[in-house]
Amino acid sequence: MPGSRRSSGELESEIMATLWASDQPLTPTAVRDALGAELAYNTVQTILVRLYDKGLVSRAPSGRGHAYSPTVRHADRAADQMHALLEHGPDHDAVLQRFVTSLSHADETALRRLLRRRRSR
Amino acid sequence: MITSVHVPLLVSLLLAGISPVLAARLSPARAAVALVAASAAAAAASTAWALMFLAVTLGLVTPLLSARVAAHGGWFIDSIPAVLAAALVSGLGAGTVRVVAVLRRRRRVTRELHALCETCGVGREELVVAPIAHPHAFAVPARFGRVESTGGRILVTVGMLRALDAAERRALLAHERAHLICRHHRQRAIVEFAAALNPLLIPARSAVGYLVERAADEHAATTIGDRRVAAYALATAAIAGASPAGTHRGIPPDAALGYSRFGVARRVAALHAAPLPERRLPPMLLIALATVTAAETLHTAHNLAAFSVAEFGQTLVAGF
Repeated sequence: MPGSRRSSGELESEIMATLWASDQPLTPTAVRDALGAELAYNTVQTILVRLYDKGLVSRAPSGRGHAYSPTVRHADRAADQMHALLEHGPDHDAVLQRFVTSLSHADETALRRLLRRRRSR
Repeated sequence: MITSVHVPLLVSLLLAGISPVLAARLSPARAAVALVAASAAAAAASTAWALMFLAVTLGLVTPLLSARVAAHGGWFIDSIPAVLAAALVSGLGAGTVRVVAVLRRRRRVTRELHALCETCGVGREELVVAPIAHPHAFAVPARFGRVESTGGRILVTVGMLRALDAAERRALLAHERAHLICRHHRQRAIVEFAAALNPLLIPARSAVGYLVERAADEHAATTIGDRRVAAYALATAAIAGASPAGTHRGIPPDAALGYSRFGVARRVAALHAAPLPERRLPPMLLIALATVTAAETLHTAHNLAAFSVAEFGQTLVAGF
């Protein structure tokens, strides 16, 4: 993968994001494969152990090593709080820095077409 | 220097007119800084301008005093008809109400965002993942006075992470990180307060909202080294968020100006195009114009206040 090198904090975030995106526990090898091959196995392994020590992930034996999955905390409370945050809608969008906001129908169609083109390439 | 007393209004109108043009033509980070600086200066100038008119019209400042101020290089402020004065008072009142509303809304959103981070996060990790299926992603700036190396935290939902592939997730994280590192929330806060004081600055606020997103998109594209992946991340996230539950739940405040509502498609298109060249001159001119206006207005206000106090003192002395 091209681009600049990641700092260890950035790598931690990226590995956490990978674990969350997966619907099953991941071994260090699977995490490394998902992130791009230029990472050393040992780097990924070290960060996973660090995340485990911090209580951010849990692990289960898998083959000769472990498979890791993120620890889910307070899902119900999180859902309530997210609802509270977003229920004010437009007013609060001026304060929130959201990645994306709502789409018009025309935009939605255009973006869907773009993504279809990409997949068929 | 030949200036008119109405310059603060003209500058605000000018900003309203050219904000969309600047947003479309200039590299986003630079254009945002220029619009933020110019909006802050214009808001200060127009507020001082309204207060001065009011002081003169209410008889707090005599015409003689206005003439003295004008003689010392300030503007001559004439009293205005009662109808206009009433409009000015209600305008200032409405501005105050709006500023208070913005303050309260900001405090509330900040509190709610941090509560969500506390619920879902462990310690002070950069990435906080909320176990929620709908795709959302936010940059959560560190609270005022709290020093954090990354400038804050990134809050995303599981739904967002699952909608994207590994490269796109990297683009998303780089985008949110750019908001935090570049302190974009401060730029947005300044234009929000400016627009609350002076509604003529609403187009500038919308433009800055769009520009900081564009600046973060460019940052992400540079970090991951692939503009197309950054564009696909944006398009995928937007489509995932447009599922029936989240569709058209309300039109964002700036939708009338076509930024928030059409922002994503424009941002995707901008990432597909080549980056805009860095131009220094137009933003510098804009900042200079707004600064000169603000300085001139505040100079007049200062003289008016100083002479009023002096005159009041003389009246007191004469009375004894």
